[in-house]
Amino acid sequence: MKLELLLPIGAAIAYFAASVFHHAHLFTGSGKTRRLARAAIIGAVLLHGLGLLDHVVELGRFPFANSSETVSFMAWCIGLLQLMIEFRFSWTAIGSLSMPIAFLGVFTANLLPREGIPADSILRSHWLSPHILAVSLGFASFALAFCFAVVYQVENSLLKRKQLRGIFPQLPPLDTISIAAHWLAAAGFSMLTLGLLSGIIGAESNWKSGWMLDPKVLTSFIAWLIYAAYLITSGIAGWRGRRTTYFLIAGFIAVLIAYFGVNLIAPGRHQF
Amino acid sequence: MRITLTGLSHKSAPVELRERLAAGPTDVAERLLALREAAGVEECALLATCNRMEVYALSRAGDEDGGGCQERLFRHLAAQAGVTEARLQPHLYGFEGTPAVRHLFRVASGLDSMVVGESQVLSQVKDALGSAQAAGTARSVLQALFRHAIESGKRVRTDTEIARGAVSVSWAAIQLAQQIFGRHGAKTALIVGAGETGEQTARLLLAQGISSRLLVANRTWERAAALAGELGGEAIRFEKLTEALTRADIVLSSTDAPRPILTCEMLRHAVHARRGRPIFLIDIAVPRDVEPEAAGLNDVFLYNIDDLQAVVAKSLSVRESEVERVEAIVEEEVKRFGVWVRTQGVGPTIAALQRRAESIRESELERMKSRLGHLTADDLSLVEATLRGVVNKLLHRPIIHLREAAASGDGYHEIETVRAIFGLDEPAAGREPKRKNGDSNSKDNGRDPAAAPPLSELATPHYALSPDPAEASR
Repeated sequence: MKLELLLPIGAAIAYFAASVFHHAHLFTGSGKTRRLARAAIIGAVLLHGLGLLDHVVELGRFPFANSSETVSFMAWCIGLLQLMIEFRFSWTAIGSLSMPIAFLGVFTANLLPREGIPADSILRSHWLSPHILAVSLGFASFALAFCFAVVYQVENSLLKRKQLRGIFPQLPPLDTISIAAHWLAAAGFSMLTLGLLSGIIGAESNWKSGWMLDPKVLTSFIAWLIYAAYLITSGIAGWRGRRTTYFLIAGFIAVLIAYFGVNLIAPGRHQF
Repeated sequence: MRITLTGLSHKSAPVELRERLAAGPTDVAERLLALREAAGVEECALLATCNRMEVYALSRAGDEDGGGCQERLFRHLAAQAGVTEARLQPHLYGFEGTPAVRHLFRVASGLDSMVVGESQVLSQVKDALGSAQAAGTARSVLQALFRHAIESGKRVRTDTEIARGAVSVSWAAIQLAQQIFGRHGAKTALIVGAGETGEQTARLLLAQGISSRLLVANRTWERAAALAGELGGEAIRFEKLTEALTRADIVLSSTDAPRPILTCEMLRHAVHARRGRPIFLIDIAVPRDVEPEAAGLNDVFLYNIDDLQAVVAKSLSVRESEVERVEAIVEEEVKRFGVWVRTQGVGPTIAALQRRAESIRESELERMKSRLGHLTADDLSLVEATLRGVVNKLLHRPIIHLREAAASGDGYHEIETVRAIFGLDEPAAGREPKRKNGDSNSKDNGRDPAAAPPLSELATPHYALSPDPAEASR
């Protein structure tokens, strides 16, 4: 089998294994499942990264030319971020959510169209690579911030109901989840802003007019507004904890709609 | 030579008696030396905690009557405690051989502790080893015994849940605070009611790196100011509690007020001002200090004494359920120590065998050299290497066999066989290298003292099959 097929399949299997082991650790808390989860995520990120590198070397360009490539790249960013979080803080519990997202990413990447951008496409621009790079990094940060937000809600409800056994001891401290989510959302917001700006500049030169009404551009802008509201309420109004997590959950849903939903409901000229 | 144990613990003796035998860290060395002298033992170590005082000893070679050794230990302890032997007798327990080993391993695993699985005893076992080593009263056997016990203690704590969870209300509160706020030390704690539990928990919060700022509120301002001064905190007037609640992330309330002093209204106000920052309320007062309805407020985690006691009870029941697994691990570790003891038994025999072979090789080579004068230096070293190879190959099987037999428990018999076949106990003047203690008229009946190890007697079936009173008592 060719390497370009073998590496993504290997990565998908490793992400799946990482999802299983992260869940196993969440429910048992055993050291053995933690080690397995760690090994699986390292394997997944490594195989996936090599697959992307192989792609870049073979095609001589960044893997940003179609939905399949960009989704795969986003999934890799999520895997890498999760790995960094685990090495720095040992918060394996977050991986129970982020690893399935990364696995779904790699899985869907194989189903999505792989054709390159047509030569006459309005998407062709020098601004395409920085645009996709920034948007992908933003997407990964938002995905992780979303995972933290969900874990916060779960832990909050366990503490309220005084259910302190089971998964509870494996969850990171409530307060630190809030802080980590804040940093991730702030990083994601910066990336999304850069992504939108580079997209606007590229669109200005290619589309000339009408890009503002493109459904993908509009939904992305809504997502941007949600995260802006989050940063304003937490940064300026000093909001913390549970109430801020609703922004992160809503924001990520908006990002998902902007990226996947719009293409299904109202396909515009912005194919991916 | 046998490992013996004589001692008393919270299970067998009242505190009045335990405190008479308590040993401070400074006088342990002195006591160890006195013990070794008085009891006439080879090695000894003292495990002294507030709940127990145990003497582990290795009786001298030829002192087959372990009871005699225990008798002397017992008399020494009675004299030391300043009580009559009759008074001490009913509270003492004594084990020999495997049961003594098992007892130490169970102690190190926390199975014999007042709170099952507690971890402090493991460091006390380490200290006991350290003191005995420093005093020079623990040598190879007791050192190995304690090291195996420490390993066993570590293993049960990582492989089972015997040490998991909080077993006191204070610790349950601390662990929850840690789970909510982490250990960044940036949190503010408010102590309402400057009682003993409040003070103790405040100290723990500071020591565990959860809080760095402390607010103390008490009905009597002087007491609040005194405790705040002592702990480096800030005293708060009772009237300012609402304001303090907006600053505090962790609130521990333990007053004896007849009615709740932290009302739902106060907390609603605080929650609003805190803008979503969670607040952890620990109400260990009876009657309760915090209105129970406050638990329904967002971002408020209210735990009362029953909630915390439920956490403690759960931890204890988890620990209890792990006891069987821990006993199994202890049993495995006792066996492993037995194997170590038996393997030690064959070590000197193997060394003697190798020495004998080496001396034969050397003397034969010496004898041949006069006839091999025509050989070059290279050829001579080749002959030497060949001879060494032959010797090593010949000895390889017997050595492996001895080690295997030792590990399986038959080492003692095989030692006798090998020693007889190779004549290791025969005086071999001129054939063996000069011995350090080669006095054939010694009390070892002509055995090479280095080759006839004191430890080999630990490898006798006598050691492995000694009666097990612990088994009967369990």
